[in-house]
Amino acid sequence: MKDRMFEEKRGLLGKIFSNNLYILFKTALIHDINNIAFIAPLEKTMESIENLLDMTNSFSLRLIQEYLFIDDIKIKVDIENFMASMFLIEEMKIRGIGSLTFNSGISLPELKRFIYAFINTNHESTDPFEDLKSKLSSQSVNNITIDRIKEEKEFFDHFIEDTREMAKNIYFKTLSVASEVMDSVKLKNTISIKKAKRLVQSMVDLMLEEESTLLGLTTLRAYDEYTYNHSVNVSILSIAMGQRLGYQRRDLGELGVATLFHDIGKIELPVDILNKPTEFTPEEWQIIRRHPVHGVKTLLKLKGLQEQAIRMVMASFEHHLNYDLSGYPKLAKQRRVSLYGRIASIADCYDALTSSRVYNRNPFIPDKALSFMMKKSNTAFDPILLKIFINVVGIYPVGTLVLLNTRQLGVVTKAHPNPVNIYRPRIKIITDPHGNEIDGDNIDLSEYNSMSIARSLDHRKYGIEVSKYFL
Amino acid sequence: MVIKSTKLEDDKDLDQDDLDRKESIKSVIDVLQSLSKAIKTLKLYPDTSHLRQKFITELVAKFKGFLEEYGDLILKIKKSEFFYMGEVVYSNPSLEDSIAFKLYGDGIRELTFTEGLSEEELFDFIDIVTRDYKKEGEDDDTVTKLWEKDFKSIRYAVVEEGKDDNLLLQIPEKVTTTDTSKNALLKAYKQEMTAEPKGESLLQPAGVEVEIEQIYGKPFSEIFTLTPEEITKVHDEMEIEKKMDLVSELVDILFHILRIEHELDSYSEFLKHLEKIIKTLLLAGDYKRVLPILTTLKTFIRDGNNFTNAHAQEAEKIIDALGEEDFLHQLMPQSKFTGIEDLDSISMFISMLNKNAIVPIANMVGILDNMKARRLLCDVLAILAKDNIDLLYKKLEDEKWYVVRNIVYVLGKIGDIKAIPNLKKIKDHMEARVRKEIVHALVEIKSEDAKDILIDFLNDDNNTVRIAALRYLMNMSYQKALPIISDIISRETFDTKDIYEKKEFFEALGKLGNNDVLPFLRETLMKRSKLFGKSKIEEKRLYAAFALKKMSTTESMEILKEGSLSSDKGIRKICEDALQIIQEKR
Repeated sequence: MKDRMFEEKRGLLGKIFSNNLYILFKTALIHDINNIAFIAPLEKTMESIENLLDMTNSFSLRLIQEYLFIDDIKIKVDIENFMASMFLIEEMKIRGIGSLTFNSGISLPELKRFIYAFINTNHESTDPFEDLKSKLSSQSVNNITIDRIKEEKEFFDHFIEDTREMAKNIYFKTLSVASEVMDSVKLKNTISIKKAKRLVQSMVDLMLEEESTLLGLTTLRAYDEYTYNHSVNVSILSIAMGQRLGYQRRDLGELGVATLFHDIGKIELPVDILNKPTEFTPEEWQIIRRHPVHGVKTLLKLKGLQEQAIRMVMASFEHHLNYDLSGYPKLAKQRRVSLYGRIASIADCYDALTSSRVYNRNPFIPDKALSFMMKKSNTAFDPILLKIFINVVGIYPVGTLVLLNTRQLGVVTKAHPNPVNIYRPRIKIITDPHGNEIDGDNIDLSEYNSMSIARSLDHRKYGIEVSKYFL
Repeated sequence: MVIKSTKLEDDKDLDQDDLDRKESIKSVIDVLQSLSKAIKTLKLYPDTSHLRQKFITELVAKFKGFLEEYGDLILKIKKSEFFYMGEVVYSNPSLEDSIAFKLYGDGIRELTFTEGLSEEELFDFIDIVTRDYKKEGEDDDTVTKLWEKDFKSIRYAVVEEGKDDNLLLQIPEKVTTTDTSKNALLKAYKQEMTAEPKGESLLQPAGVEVEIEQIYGKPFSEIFTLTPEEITKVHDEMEIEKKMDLVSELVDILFHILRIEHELDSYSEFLKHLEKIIKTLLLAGDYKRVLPILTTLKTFIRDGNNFTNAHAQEAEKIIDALGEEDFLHQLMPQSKFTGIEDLDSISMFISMLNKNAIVPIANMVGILDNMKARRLLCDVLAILAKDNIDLLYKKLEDEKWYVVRNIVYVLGKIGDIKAIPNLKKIKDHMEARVRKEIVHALVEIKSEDAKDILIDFLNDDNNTVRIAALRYLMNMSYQKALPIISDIISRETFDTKDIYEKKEFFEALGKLGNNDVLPFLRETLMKRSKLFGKSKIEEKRLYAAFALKKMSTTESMEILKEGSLSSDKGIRKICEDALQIIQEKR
């Protein structure tokens, strides 16, 4: 097993390097080769290259699917390096580059020549990769080499397959533990959230490896187990947002546990109201709206003053408050809604809108739910966090059934990580242009300019089980 | 605890690999023995003990030696034993103390130490494996804690708890084409296509992106990209939350709920939680955090945020609960030993309590052996009991003289004339220090009645009490004391008082005196000395001159002048000196 300290250090150095390289490219796009503004970013990039070369004779910045790696260590993406990662991925892709290898012996002038050769590559040409390669050769750039992009399918499929199995296991166990805890609360038994905590920690680890599978699992919905499904989903969606925000592992664990029990107050609500098949009356709404406060009471009864317990209380109390406090409970005084509360609120609303519930038999399809939520940006939802959320799940979240402009049906299997291509996710083609089921390719729509999503469809309306296409 | 040594074959039969193996096993046993010793030491010795550091340093050195020589130290865990290369390297039949058993019980089956292991990591590791999570009521175990710590050089492998096969059945299978899905897809296709032009032409996008562009009014590519300002804003918020005081957040939430909660039962329940939080903080000695909470609570009650009187009464109950004797007794160990800086906070805390705290606090005065703390309690009690002094009277009968003295002090600080009869009752208290405190208290009260009682103390058995009373009366220019003072001076017993007291009495006579006392002073000054008792007469002459000098009136000066012309050398000298002093002062 590789030394974890080494991996973390490389990962961090890789993050710094990719950020510096991004700034360097951006500067080069504005200023000419002899401009003084170019010196500082050039030196900074060189420094980060040297730091990486300190441990080995060479290293590669590799592009595998939508992720950047330093050799085989994945560079974690958060809001700090998000733009840099997206830029580098995009620029490498259009030049057909799968990896950039930096060898010891590299000099500042050589790096400078490489940068300008890179940005001056004609990517409209028939083979931009060859174009760049010959430029590098003619300009004696010997210590930076490029390799063609290739589908590292085997590497990735194996990785995905493993995480998929693990994700399913963890998801369903968490579901079971969440229901156990809530049942214990109902029965007024003493509860322990230790099991839940362990599972959330596993979810965090998984999310840090690969987020799509867990996100995909949130689309599985059991109509009669809404509360538990919803709780686990909100936890997953929150962890995904927290990860994108750059929360540390431990904080992600706390966020996951806090949001897993955000609806614990519903246990206090009368079952006949919760299971009412028709619309709620205003009086019933009033009762429903007490659940955040009930949640605080329940959690305070069960837990002490530990950090985790307080975070749970905050998530429970704040998840319906709304960013501008227009939600419930209606407060008599101003309060700053915590980030946990704001994250929980977005995750909760999205999952609630897209889920079948006893009183919501016709849920929104995911993209419509997002569009609905966007209309409430800056009022009900923190606009920045909502953006981040959409970046995480995509405009067409995993599991969305779509009709392509080619008259084929497909299911979204992965959101596109780049906000610029957010409406062009990875899709599994499931029918031919005549509606006949096929086991089609899993394609990245951003790579097929001629193909696009015509519209999303409601898979429930047609009784289509979409999860089988991505799980 | 037993660390087993591994029984190995004779060296002569071993090749180099076997020898290395044998050596590495020995080395692991040594490391684990050190680990056990360090655990014991950490349990036994306080944080400040240098022994703790010593054992950890040794342990780190042992680990370092091993890791450099043999690489990662991978231990397999079975019940109460650690295995290394298939050999038992640690075994502890006492399950309670066995680290292996603890880790095993939490599902850990493999533990790996890698190069770079630091002292800090080892301290934390030992803390994690030795804590009793059940006892501490935490929702944690070694696994959750190890995960949170995220050690760089300690890894572990955990077995999953029993798989629930029923749950796994719900997981969808891989893509398979069934008639049902075929039909469903075809149905969806047909229905969706009814509104579309027939043929093979490409469909027009009508997806949500069009709608989104309309909402935001800018190109789609710009909508979801975070701007540098947005990134900074989120970072700033994250920084704020890192420093957030979570207990204050919780309290804030409770106040928000209390402001809107109409149902009395629920309202009371939230108040109970608030009370619990305040008590927990107080028991932890965190007065500084409690004060703002109590201030908010008091403002909350005062501003009428409560919906009915019943709500208000419920809120007051929290403050009552904090002032209950039992709870204050629990707090005592803290207040007893806390430094002077905290005493201010404690004092502020007590001053915010309700009147039910008066008697318990008064009782505490009798228990505390720290003088500073006792004085602080008295000062606070004076604030707290200001409008309820009757609650203190009972303590004036306390057996302990110092309790009585402190309560008298409190009554003095309050300065309410209503206390006079009760002070009068104990004016003959057997302890002089109590009587002296009564004198002080009466002075603080500053009423005529109080001054009258002060006069009684001029005849107290104790000279410090008498002098104290005399000085106060003199300073207050209380003329009613004059006849008593004159009377005392003229008594034969006056001669038995010490010089200092006698001087004080004459000074008082001089300060309070009028022309009525002049004949007495003249007589005392001019008295001719006899053969016997000469020194006593001369002493009294001096006091008389001193008193006349203090009076400094025309009439008193006349007497001194007269004395300065006396044929008695002694009288003349005293009077000349007194006149000179007066002259100089002028």
